[in-house]
Amino acid sequence: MNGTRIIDIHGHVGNWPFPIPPSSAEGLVNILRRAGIERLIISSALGVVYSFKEGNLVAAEAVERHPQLLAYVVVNANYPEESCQEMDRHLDTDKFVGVKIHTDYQGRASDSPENLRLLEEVAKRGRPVLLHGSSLAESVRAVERFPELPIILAHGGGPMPEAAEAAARLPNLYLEFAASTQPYGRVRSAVEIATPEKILFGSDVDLISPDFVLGAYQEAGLTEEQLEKVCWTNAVKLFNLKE
Amino acid sequence: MSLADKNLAMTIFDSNTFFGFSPREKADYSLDALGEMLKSNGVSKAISCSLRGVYYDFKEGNDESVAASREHPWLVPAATIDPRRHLGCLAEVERMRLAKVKAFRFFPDVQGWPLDFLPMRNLLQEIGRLGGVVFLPAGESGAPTRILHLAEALSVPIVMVGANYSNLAEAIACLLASENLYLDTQQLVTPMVLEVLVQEVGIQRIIFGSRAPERHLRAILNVIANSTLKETEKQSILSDNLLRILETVP
Repeated sequence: MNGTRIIDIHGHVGNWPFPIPPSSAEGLVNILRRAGIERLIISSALGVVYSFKEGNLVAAEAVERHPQLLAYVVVNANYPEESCQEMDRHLDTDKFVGVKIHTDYQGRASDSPENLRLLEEVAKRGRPVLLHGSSLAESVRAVERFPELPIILAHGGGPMPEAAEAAARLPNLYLEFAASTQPYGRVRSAVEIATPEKILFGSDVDLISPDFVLGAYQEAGLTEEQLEKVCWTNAVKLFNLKE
Repeated sequence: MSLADKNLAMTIFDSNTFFGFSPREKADYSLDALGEMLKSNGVSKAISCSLRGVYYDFKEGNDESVAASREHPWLVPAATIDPRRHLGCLAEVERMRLAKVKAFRFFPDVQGWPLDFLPMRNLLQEIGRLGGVVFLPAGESGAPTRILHLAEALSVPIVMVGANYSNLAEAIACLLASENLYLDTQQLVTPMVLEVLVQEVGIQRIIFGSRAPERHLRAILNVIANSTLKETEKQSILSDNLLRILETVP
């Protein structure tokens, strides 16, 4: 895997209620440098678990200071109008490249009416979504409703091989495999079933070390060409990034 | 990814592996597959437990583990006992100690019994009497505290297996409360987690364990390799600490 360029599409800036040293954008950049990761797309932990508007400002400040960092606008299905305002405020900059939805913290299933309404608004704006979904079946139903909207299911989306089969069937469904437990062979199976074009690299840093998640990708037995797609090219295309 | 590819030119002793048949999902957990995975990651020795003993019959499984250790010099056998059976459980501790087995691994999470129920306490007392190192799952919130209470009044070293960021604060508190407790690395995956643990509880309490072949060995080795610990500290985690507590068992 030496020489493979890496974009990590799942990161956070902010603090967690666990024994993790306080996070900062500078700290994240150091972690990226040590792991050999060129770019990271973050959302604010504050925005995910509490106040999305405040959190988006934290993310905006971080990406302004560090060119390695890009950001998701965090939206909240319980606040549709304000979420639209947040998207309109931040997505017109080239620093915010997608939208983050975390169904657990918002208490709304992936295919709940509230979330579908929100996804409809995201689809109008045409930016990819990183969805920490509820059950796989519920997330797949949401993805099916918006065939033009690229949706990445975080943490592999659910059980395998069902998640990879869904990604193979639905052109707008993608997967990343950030997880604190990495069942052996999961990434490899996903690439085989869904094709390497549908898999991305995400770590959930700074909740999870990218070194750890990279280990699963390193041991997946992928060719250099497949790794390049999974770790770099797919993200460049999906988020319309400059190389 | 040059740093993530960093190799650990050190002796690596994995405290947490298993082998056998996988009934819950199609996977190759054979001894050959495990051996190959260890070798390709530079692991020279591993404590391993037969899944036959976990899922079916602990005596048969333990015999399989002991036999495997005779055939494969890299394998250090771990015995397991399912306390739900009652019959022959305490005698199995002695039988395994006579077979020179030092490691005892328990699977309440798989077998569905409460970690701190009396049959487990009785088994621990027997292991305390005859000697042994115990490995208990600690991934659930509350598990480290239950293990701490089990360890009270015993001098048995107990390795808490699978504590993760969500209950790491509890694990740290328990490590500080009892010198007999240790923590394995299987799910220590947050950035700087090893550095935090060294600062809070000291390097000697961290034991390398991967849960291979079910989990990616490379993933957890990457965390250790890319930590900011000194090389001597990495060596402590990767083998020295485990060797030291095994040597305390006669």
